[in-house]
Amino acid sequence: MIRKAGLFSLLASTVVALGACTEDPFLAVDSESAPGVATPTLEISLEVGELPSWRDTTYWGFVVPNSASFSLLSDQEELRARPLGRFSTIPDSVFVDTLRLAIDRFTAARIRLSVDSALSELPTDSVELAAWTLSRSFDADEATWELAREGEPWTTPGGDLETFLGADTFSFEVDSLGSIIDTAVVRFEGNVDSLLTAWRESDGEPGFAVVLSGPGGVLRTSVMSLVAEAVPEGLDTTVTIVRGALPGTFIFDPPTPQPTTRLRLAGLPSARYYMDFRLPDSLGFIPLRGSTINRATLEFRPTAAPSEPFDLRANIFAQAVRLLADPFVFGEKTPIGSPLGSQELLRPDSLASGNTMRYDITSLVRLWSLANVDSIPPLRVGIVPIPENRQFGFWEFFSEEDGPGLRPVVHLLFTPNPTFLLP
Amino acid sequence: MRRAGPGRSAWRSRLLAAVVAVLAAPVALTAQTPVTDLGLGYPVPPIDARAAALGGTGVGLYGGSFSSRNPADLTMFSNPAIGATLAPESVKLKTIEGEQSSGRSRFVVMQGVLPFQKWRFGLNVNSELDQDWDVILTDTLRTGFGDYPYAESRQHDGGVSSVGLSVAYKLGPLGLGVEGSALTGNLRQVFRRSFDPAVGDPSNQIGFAAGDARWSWSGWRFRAGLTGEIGRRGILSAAITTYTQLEAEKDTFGIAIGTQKFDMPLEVSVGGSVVLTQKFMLAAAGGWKTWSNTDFQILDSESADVMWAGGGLEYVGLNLLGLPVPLRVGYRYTDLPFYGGQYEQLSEQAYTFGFGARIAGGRAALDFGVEIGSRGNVETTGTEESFQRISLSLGINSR
Repeated sequence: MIRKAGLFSLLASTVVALGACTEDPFLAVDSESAPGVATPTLEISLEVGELPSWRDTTYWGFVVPNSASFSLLSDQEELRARPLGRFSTIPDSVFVDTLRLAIDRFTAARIRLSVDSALSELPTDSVELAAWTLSRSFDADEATWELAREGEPWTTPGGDLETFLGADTFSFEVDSLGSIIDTAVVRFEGNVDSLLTAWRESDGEPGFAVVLSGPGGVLRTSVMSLVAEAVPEGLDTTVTIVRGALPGTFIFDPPTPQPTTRLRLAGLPSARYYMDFRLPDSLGFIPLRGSTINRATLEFRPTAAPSEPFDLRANIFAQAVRLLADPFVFGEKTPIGSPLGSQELLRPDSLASGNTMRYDITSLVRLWSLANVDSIPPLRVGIVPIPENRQFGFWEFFSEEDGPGLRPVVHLLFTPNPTFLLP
Repeated sequence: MRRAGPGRSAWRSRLLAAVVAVLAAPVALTAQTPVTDLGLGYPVPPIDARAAALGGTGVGLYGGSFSSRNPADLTMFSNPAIGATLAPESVKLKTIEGEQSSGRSRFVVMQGVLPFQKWRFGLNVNSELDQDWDVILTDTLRTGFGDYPYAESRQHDGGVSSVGLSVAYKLGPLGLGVEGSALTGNLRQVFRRSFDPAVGDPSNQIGFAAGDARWSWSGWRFRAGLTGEIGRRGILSAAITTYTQLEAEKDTFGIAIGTQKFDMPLEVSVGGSVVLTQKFMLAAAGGWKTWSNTDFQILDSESADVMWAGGGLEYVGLNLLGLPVPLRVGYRYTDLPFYGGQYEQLSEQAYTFGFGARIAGGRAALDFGVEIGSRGNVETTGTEESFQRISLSLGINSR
């Protein structure tokens, strides 16, 4: 028994002794004096001229006035704009309770415009809104201030106005409740039934225009619709029908400046800029490819604000996206892939101050760094405005054509693979 | 397509400092370096707990030893036996900034012996070079993207071991032995830097950077020894050891991508013990290792010859709880072969003591050895550690 107790004591003390020798790591004070392999995390900015290759360009036309989510009305010297449209879906019958009844006649009609008061430059004085029929049909995708469609100019720039439909005067002032009117209605005068019946039979051809008269202000409307009072056959009551302008667009003057060598974002037609580039496999003795890419961004320096009225005036977002094909082969048809990084906020005041826009492309550069093939295609990135159909203004950024100090920059934070050695 | 023009020279110069940093970083052998990071690591003495308590002798030890210094000493075993020794040590690494505590666990030696008539056949597995260490540091990386606090871990895990076969022959009062051992083992080097989110911007994250490499060690060792009884009270023993080159083959992800070779030393060890009285035994040993033959090509490491010596006294007159408990005390000194190029060679010294117990009706022996000592001096050798090592041996059918 005594021997067993002695043995137990020995074993217990052994366990205690061994347990006291845990292998805790040493704490080093700094990287320089700590033992072992160290590899620095390096930061470098490479202007595009320092890269093996870089190409950039602007493509536009991704959104045109016909596909924009807004229309502009303006009678300023620097911007004249008016919506055009066709009410092509005027019905010949209406539902009354559970019955569909033919429309006997239209007794009244008006065009209703929903004004986006937050994004509009509201006129300080009263303005008049007038509705006109057009004497010449237009192509909603191609119509401009000068052309009804490609190759077919208006007789009078701004649309061939034919018949005056009605007008009203509006004053966009804050009312006693602190709100601003956000709906403008222009009532039709004359024989409404004849007009709407004709539009119904011709699918709205040739169309109508809404004209703003009065100095100052740019009204931005989101919805333009026809509100008509119809009398069903056999009834002495009226039914209100509402139809949107389809197609609906707007024309403006002067036209949006053509893109130059600068990189343009947003505007109407909406512009994106695309680029492809190659990164060096190594920077001097330091291999870049194969390194851990901690962060990679593309940085663009903004130019001065575009001239009015095409300067971006509201905050928008922009997103770097992966391009799935060569943008210099496929142009604006280049398919885009997944987004890279998060959306970046573009603030006109910040851009006007010259603050650089950064887009995170870390995930793309990481793939490039890890690619285990000899021939790697260039990195292809597009910068896309978000949302794309809500901006009339744009902003431009310096491109590879500009001088040193202005050109785009690839900014990298990377950690080369450690070189493990024996003594 | 545009080709890079004169601008390339710009980033070359910008990165020059970084290049220097990359190349210089592994060279750092400073006052925060544990001995296991110096050169090829810390040489582990292949001794059992009894030898450790007797001043780290293990050569010509009266009564036999599970140490693995001399194959001729196997002739002292007349029965089949096997013994294993663990030797964890707690360490305090002294740096300019203060002391830090850690520990190291080692399986030092396993020795088996099978007698057949006058022949003894042995099998041993030894730790040879301990290369384990682990360091953590914290800092902040300041960049144009943000300031990122980070924790960095650098770790070496592994070392060199040996697996040896030995044959000894008892020729009257003499014992002759030879041993051939394969040096084996591997070393895994790990680096990981984990970044926290940028200061003041939790969404700004840059992940981590990591890497690792694995080296496989290989080589051969040949040892011959002679032991002899001097009268009935004394034993004198000596061995000489030579190696092939130690080869390190880099084998990361299964692909050999580099090989390094290191010259190994010629070793001579001599020791003996004498029974002074019925209750006292005196043991002493020493040796020489020509580690200065080893050249280090890449890092700023140096090597030098090593002299070691130690001795101790064993008292066998104590019974505790009915068990005979031999008490041992000793002292040892040894040079360490590796050191940083800008420093002096390290040495290690320790006071030792311990005890043993025979258990299981005498069919097993349990031995403890304690070594309390220090190695190096932070000002002159760049590395300074104090340590307490506890050796624990269990032998079966050993006598």
